[in-house]
Amino acid sequence: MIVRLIIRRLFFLIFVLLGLSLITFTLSHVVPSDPARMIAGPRASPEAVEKIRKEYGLDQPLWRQYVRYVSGLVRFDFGKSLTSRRPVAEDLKRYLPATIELALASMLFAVILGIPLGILSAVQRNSLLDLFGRTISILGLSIPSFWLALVLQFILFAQLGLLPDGQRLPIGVKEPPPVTGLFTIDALLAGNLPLFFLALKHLVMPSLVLGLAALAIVTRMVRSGMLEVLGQDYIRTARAKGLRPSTVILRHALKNALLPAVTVIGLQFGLLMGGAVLVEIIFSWPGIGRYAFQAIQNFDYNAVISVTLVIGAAYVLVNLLVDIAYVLLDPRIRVT
Amino acid sequence: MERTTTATTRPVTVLLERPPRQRTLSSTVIEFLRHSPLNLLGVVLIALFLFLVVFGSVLAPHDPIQPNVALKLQPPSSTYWFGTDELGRDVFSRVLSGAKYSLGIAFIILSIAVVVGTLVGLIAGYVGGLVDELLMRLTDLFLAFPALVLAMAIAATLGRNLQNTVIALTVVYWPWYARLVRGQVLWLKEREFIEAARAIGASPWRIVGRHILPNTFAVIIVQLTLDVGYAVLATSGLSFLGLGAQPPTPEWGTMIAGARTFFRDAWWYITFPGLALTLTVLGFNLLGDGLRDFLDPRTRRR
Repeated sequence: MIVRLIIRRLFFLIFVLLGLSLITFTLSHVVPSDPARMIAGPRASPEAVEKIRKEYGLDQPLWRQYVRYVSGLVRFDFGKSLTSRRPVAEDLKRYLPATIELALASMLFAVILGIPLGILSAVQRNSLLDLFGRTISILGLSIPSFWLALVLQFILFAQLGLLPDGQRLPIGVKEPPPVTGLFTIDALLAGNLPLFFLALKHLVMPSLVLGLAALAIVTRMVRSGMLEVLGQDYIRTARAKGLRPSTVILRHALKNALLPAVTVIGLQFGLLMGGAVLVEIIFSWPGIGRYAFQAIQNFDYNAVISVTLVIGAAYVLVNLLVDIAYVLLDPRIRVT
Repeated sequence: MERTTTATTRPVTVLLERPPRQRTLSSTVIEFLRHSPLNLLGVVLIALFLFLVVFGSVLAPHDPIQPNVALKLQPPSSTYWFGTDELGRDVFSRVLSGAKYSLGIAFIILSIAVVVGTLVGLIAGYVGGLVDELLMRLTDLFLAFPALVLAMAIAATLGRNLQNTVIALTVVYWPWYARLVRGQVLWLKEREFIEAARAIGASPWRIVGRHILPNTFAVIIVQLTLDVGYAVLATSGLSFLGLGAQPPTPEWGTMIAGARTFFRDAWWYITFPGLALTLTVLGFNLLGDGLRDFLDPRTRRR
């Protein structure tokens, strides 16, 4: 069952990636400007522009360019960036870890705070804490992230000087030896505690801003899941047996209440990767969101397609993992 | 029952089983507002900003576009309630006039998305078979796309203006409605009253138009209310990035982008457009949440 699910979804993944690449490819070729001219620069001779056109394969028919592009993709060859002139795969390798670190930290923030808040909110229904939980779950979805980012920069950086206003590390500080590409983890692996805290400090504000919407959604899902479960007969039975309230909540209710939350958390991860663009730009975070934005500004279509593909693929992959987790957590699904 | 329908379709199942027209509209509205003070707050906020969409530019005490550099970056005062920006324009007037862009555009986007999505969903759900399969795979494809990145790519490709923001975000939103409506149609198709209509010889057009379509409205309205907030955030987010409304348009996202360089010395410049944006989205989120709870007796009991 689970193997069949995975195989089916992997097929879907291929289909999605092909579709995504076709859409982005089409999009980037509607561009009114001439990419070859963009690379060559405004003062280049027509011959130089032609040479570049040949070099990048821009002189071939569109379908040829697309086929060439897709056959490259299979080998993880995303083509050359038209602005940095490096292979896009190399650029992605450089920028992707920053986005992953940011998305993971945001997710962690949302889950670590959201699950307890959702539980407490449901258990102590209509208490002050519940009011707080519900306020978070509505406000978190209403505040524009780009505005919150600027406001926090103003308060926490400009006014209080508590946190840095951007970058992954201060300029001039040596990066930890790359293992995972996540600065916090790499610093720990290198046993460099001060560097770890420095990287962490830079991570706090962006992940708080990016994770707020996810926090809102996780809190809400856990709360409503808990409320639904707590009203059921087996919980009353467990209580009647004289089990401690904490046992009832943690051992009996939580597992069932978390099921819907798992799905939502998975979906959030994909959204976080996409939503990172605004946050990365404001916090000068060198991730793929900012890279994509710069690529869009420069009509660097190879880079734009690749980022969209990578984020789309990550989204579909995470959803696959979520479905698997769901099956593992809920034995009932295996039967149907 | 269709397993793939989302949680949002559930409440409507219950809603539809309630005998219709038992209560008058106004008594239902009053009951809804009494149900929670948050519902009332949501409605009040929405009413306020809808009013501003229509009358905002008329009510603005100063010209929202004409610069007056002599008055630049003045703090809030009795003449300039929200202070002035770097070109001496009244922030209050700009915030009032901005509702038309930020919220108005979101309405246009969602109207188109709803029409397209409903059409696709109706066809997919009612015709079924290969047509359904093809249309649904197509929507899956769009749903797998990171929305903001797709919108960014489209907006940047077509050119940076509000019209292209509308196109970009419509592309992002229609699949959600297609899926939602399809789920409803699949569920409705098997009901007795549709069977009855078919039995007395009603044409497919009549069945879809008179019997199925009206019954999808409730679920669409709830989703729509929740989506207005997202659409407003997306529109202003794109404008903030410089891909949507262009200065000197007093769109809220554009204003916040403009405030970026000055707000450390002029807190009012960034605060008020951001507050307007937050309150607008908050209003629709409150109303959407309230409607969903209200229409779902399971949560209503609690």
